[in-house]
Amino acid sequence: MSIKDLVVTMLLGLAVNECSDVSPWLAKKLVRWAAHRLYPDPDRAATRSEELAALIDEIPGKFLKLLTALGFGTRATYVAIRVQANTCSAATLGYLLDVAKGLKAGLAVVVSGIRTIAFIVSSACAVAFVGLMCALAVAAALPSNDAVPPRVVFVAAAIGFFAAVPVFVFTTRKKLARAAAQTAAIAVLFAAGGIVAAVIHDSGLSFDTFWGMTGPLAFVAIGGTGTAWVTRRTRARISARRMRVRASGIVQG
Amino acid sequence: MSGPVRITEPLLDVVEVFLAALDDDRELHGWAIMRAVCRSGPTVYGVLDRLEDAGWIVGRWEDQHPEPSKPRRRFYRLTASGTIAVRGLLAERRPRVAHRRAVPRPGLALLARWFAGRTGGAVQ
Repeated sequence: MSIKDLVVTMLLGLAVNECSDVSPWLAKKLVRWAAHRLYPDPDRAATRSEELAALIDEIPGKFLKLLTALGFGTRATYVAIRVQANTCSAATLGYLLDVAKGLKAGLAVVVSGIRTIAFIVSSACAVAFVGLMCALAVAAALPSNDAVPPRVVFVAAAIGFFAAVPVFVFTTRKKLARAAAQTAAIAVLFAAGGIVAAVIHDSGLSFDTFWGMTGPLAFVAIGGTGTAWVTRRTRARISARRMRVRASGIVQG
Repeated sequence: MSGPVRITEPLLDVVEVFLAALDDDRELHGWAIMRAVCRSGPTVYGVLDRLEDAGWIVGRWEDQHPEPSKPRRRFYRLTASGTIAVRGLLAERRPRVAHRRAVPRPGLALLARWFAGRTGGAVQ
């Protein structure tokens, strides 16, 4: 690495560090600005301004703070454009509303993407960690390493199952309970796969035959879970939309 | 005093959390509500605005944050009229929530429903 690369790396590191340090301050400024755009009543705007600044302080993580503030900022921009509607021409207004809607939709996509990535990464890390621990334990316990992979799958799945059950039973959060139930179900699938794989392995079949038989099962399990997840989310969104339509119908009626 | 203009899913989620907090004799601040309902800040504060305008909830500033370096938070609780209205609303829209006293464990509730379905009995 040359001196130039070193300097550039250091400068980039400093810039990223500074940006992340500035983000909470920026988030507070943004929510205070948003509060005064969202609430025409000065007293209420002042109250909300202080409240939202305290909310930003309460939220963990610099990025989440900034993301929440951006949400308030987007909403305030949308409201401000609607307030200015009388002074704009129809074409300008339409354009501005389209821009605001685009921003709102873009933010929703970003938030959704971050949640999905976080879920996938955290799940993958948890599985990898448990798998590694089990691999070490099983490798230490077994006299021969020949049959380790299928048994590691089984032990990791069993640990995943027994870790998910208490979470499922004791949590007060619906989403966590659902995630724990899914984890337990997937763990059962993998445990079954591990048992089958171990039996196949012990019967003397080759590695290729083993994967040929268990691979499709794993793909079906993963594909099925993914499809179920996407379907449920879509159904929940459609249901929420129907409810909103019904509610607006009641109000108008 | 009028009811909230729009009854939406986020509003039902938020009033459900308020009802659970009332059962536990707790007050809630914005971040606690956001965490409980897993919804974004603008959505939750939009609902709080509507509930406050309708007189269903009332807010108060805390004297001092438990951590001295942090700013004071604003806590909300259901009013007497709000409690009646919320119970009525949830009885209409989410009957299972309205009739229970405390927040149940969702996992246990699911198991109980499954067990009741298997035995044909009622769960309460």
